[in-house]
Amino acid sequence: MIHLAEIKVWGVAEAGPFSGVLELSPGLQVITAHNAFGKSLAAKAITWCLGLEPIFGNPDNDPIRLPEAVRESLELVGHTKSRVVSSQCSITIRDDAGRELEVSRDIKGGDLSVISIREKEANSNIRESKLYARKLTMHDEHGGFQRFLFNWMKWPRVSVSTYRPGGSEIYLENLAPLFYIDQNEGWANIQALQIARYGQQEIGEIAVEYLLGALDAVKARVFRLQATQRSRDLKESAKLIAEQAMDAMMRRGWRIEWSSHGSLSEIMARWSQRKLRQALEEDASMDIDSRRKTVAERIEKLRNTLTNQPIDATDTSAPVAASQRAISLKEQRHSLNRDLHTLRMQQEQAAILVESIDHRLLAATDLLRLKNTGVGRLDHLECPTCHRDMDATMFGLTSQSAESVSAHIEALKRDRELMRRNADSLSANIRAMSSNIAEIDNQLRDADRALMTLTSAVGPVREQLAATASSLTSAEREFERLDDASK
Amino acid sequence: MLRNSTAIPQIVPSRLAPSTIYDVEYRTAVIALVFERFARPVAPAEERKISSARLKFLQFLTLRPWLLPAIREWSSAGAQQELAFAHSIRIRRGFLSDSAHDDLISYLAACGILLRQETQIVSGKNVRALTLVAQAIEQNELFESERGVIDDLGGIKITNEMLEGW
Repeated sequence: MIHLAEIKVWGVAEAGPFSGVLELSPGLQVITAHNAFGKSLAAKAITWCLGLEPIFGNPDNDPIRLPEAVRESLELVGHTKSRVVSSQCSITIRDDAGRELEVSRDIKGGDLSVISIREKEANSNIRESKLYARKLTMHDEHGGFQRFLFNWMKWPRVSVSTYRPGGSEIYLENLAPLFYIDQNEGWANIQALQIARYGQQEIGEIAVEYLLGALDAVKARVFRLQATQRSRDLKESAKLIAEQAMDAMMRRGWRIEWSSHGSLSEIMARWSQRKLRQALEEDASMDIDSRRKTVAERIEKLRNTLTNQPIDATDTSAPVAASQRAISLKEQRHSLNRDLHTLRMQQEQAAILVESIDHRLLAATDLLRLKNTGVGRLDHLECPTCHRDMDATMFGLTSQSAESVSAHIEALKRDRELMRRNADSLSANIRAMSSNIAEIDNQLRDADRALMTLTSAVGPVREQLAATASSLTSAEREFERLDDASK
Repeated sequence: MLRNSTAIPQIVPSRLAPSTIYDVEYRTAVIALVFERFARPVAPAEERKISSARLKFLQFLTLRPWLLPAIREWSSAGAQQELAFAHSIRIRRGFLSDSAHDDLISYLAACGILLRQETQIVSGKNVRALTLVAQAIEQNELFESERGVIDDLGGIKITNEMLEGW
C-alpha cells in the first residue's frame, strides 16, 4: 500500500522566502482552513508534480492552473503584494516497505519541463535524478518521468488500441481523472478529463478496470477493440474490391451486385456462395461463354451472307434502317445524359449535406465536452447595476443539458449514416448510368460508321453489302471485348 | 386512420433533442471567437468594436462552414450583380433572420460584456469574461472547425453590399 505523506510548496519573493508543508497520514484525510490558506494550492501541487497539466486543458509545462500566489505575487506578513522570484513544490509518497519517493518540480524560475526525483530505499540508500515531465514521458527509458513512476509503483504497463495507426498504452493522465473532484463542478467524469489527442479507445472504462486491478478485463477489452478494428480494416478492403469488380463490369455495361454490405462474415458467405462469373450471369443475364459462342456464330453467318448468299436487288430498306438506328441511339444518349446530370446534382447536394452533418457532429461533440468540463463557459454572470443573477432564459435563450446534447449527437450519427448510404447509392447509379452511356456511345459509333458506309454506297445491292459488312465489323469488335473480359 | 390501425407509436428521445445550434453556450463560444478575432481596438482606450451586421454575418458563417465556397464566390463576384445575386439570396435570408444571435447580443449587453453603440458592438466592462472563453477554447482545442472557418474568413473580403439586406 502506498500513501501520500507530504505536500510542500516553497519559494522566494522580493520580500523574502516563503514555504508551507502539509503532512498527511495513511487513510482518508480531511483538510479545513480559511480562504487563501493554500488548500487548493496543495491539491493542485500534486497534479503539477505528477506532470498532469494536460488533463485540465493546459499546455505541457504550463503552471497556469496554480494560484497566482506561487506564480506572480503574494502577501507576506508585514508586506503588501510582493513579486514571486522563484517557487517550487514537491510531494512525498511512502509505501509499506519503507520506501519513499520525493517528487519536486519548479513552478517559477527554473526548468519547468524537468521533475526532480529523490528515492529513498528501505535500506536508507538515496538516489537522486532528473526526469522529463512531459516529453515522451512513458517511452523515454532514461529520462521519462511516467516510465520511472510506473516502475517505482510496480504498476503494470498495458497496451491499448487507438483510433489511429500505431498503439498506445495507459498513461497517468488516463488514471488521474478518477481522483479529481472540482469544487465548482463536483465529481469530474473520468471521460471528461481524458485527452482526446491520444485517441485511445474506450479509455475511460479501461482506466476504471485498471485501477480496480481487473487486468484480464482490460486485456479482453483491448483484444475485442483490436478485433473490431481489424474487422473494420478488412471490411474497407472488401469494399474496395467490390467497387473495383463492379466498376470493371460496369465499364462493359454489365450491372452486377457484388456489394460489401453487411458484416464481414456476411460478405464472406455471400462472396463464397457464387463466383463473379455466376453473379454476372444472374444479375446482368450475361453468360460470357454462351455470349461468345452466339457472337461467333453470328460472325460466321454474316461472313457466309457476305460471300455466298444471294442479294435481293429490290430491297431498299438498308439505309433507312441504319439512319433510324443512329437517331434512336442519339435520343437514348440524350435522355441518359439528362438523367446523369440530375444524379450528379443530387450527389453534390448529398455531399454538402454530409459535410454539414459532419460539422454539426464535431460541434456537438465539443459542446458536450464543454458541458462536462465547463471549459469555455462564461463564468457566473450578474447584472452590472443591480448585481442580480442574469438568466439567459429571460432573453429567449436555452442552455441544453449534456443528456440533450448526447441525444442530438446520436441523432446526427444516424442521419449521417443515412446520408452516406444515400450518397453511396447515388454513386452506384451514376456508375451504372455512365456505363450505359459508354455502351450507347459504342453502339452509336458502330451505327454512324454503318450509315457513312451506306451513304457512300450506290444502289440497293451495294447498300445491302455495306450493311452486312458493318454488322460483321461490329460483331467482331464485340467478340474482341468478350474475349478481353473472359481473361 | 392511425387510431384504427395496428401501428404502435414509438418515441425516439434522440429525435426530440433540439439542435445544438440553439444552445446559448455554443453561440457564446462562437461569438467569443469571432469578437476576439475581428473586433478592432478603439484608440486610446482598451475598447474594441465591430460592426453589428458584420458580427452577425461572421458568426452565421462560422456556424455553417459549408457556406464558405459560396461566400468566396460571392465576395469575388464584386460588382457583377447578376453573379452576386446567385449566391446572396439564401445566405442573406438566413443571416438576417437569425434572431437567436440578436437575443444573445441582448443577453451579453445586459451582462455588461458587450454594448450596442449605434451600428457597432463595443466591448463592455465585463468583456474579459468573453476573452477568457475564447482563450479556454483555443487552449483546449475545442470547436476546431469553427476556428478553421474564422481563419478562412480572415482572408475573405466582406463587403458592405454583402451585409445589406434587401
